[in-house]
Amino acid sequence: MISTGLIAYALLVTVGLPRPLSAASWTSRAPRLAISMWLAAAASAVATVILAPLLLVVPVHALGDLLVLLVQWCDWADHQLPVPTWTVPQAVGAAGVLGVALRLGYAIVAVTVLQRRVRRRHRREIRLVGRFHPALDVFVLDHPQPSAFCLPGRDATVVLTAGALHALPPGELHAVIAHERTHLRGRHHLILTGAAILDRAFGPVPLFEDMPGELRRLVELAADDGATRHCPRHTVAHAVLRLAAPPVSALGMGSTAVRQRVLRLLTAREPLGGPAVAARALLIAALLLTPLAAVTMPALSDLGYHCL
Amino acid sequence: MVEQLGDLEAEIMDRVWSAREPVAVRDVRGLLDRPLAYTTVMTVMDRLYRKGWLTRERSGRSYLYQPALSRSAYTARMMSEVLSGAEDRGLALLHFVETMNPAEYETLRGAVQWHESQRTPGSERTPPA
Repeated sequence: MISTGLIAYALLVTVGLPRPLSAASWTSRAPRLAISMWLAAAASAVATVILAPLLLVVPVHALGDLLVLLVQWCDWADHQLPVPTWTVPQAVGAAGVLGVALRLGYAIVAVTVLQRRVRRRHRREIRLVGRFHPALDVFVLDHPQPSAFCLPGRDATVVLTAGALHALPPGELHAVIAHERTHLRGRHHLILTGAAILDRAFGPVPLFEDMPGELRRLVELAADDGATRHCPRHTVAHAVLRLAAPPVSALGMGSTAVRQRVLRLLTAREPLGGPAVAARALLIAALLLTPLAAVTMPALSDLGYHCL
Repeated sequence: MVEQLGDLEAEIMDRVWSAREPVAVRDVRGLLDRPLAYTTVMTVMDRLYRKGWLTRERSGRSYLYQPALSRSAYTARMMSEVLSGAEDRGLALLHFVETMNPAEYETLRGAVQWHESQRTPGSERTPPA
């Protein structure tokens, strides 16, 4: 019964939520709130797909009994946990839990191992190939294409190309560096790594398929906002525009994301009002608490039954 | 100590790249800014050889070292990884912005100029002679 409810809830979060959330316009006004909502939805969905099959194995009343045992003042000492007898639903549930855990575990290993190897190589290469610029506290790569990025992780650092140093006026240079440092301070790479892991594990599910692209867009907006705390908005906009200039040699990508980013900086829209933020924070809290509540509510009522 | 060795690796690679011909440990030591023991320089160069940054061939009783790849080759490889959006595989390099295609870029530049003229009225017009 509760399993059915949890499955319905999981479908709502993983299939129903992603499209409206991607399409919503408030997300670019409050990118950090939107990032929280995506992460809460992902955590909620993962918790649910683990809990739903788990409940087939361990019935809710057993969880309730366990809670009873944990609560000392109930003074109900001679209770024994039921020894599980294997039935078909329990076997299905166990297979489900195991399947989800294995998929997730495999994705974690696959993504982080590859990432660690490439990061280590990049870190070495930057240190040996790049030149440290002490005044700006960045590494400079001797390459004509104006570009900037950051290497997160241990010894996190911002990297600029010689082309970027050449092309950017001082104000915009600081905007670019402030943007990249916001990425590093906000640990944005961990957010994107988590999204990549979930995409790898549960790929075709809309929530996990849409999340990496959306989060990538949102962390850029959040980093732009971080840069605007140090520089005027139009300076950040010009810096984005300058580094998005098509390269002489290669074909650039078509990107509506860049367009939105620049115009967003130039048309300063009101940040979300208090009530709008509160409503979304409530939704985030609901996403985080629902799976937990679905499992513990019957158990708590059980607890009440035993104790009263 | 590890950090200092790292700096030394970078410094030595820099000298080897600048040399443009095979160099011995003795030559590199002479090119460094600070006086260092011969064995220190030799140890670091041996390490760079083992890690694949340097190649070497025997010449008499010592080795002559060369970079495995030019500095620009490493740079080009790294840049192509950044520009190709390698981060989509979860690498998360957090590239500042991808480049646009020329048509879209020109449209956006036009839009920005329009916004600028809104911000500072009259600045679009050329000042009177």
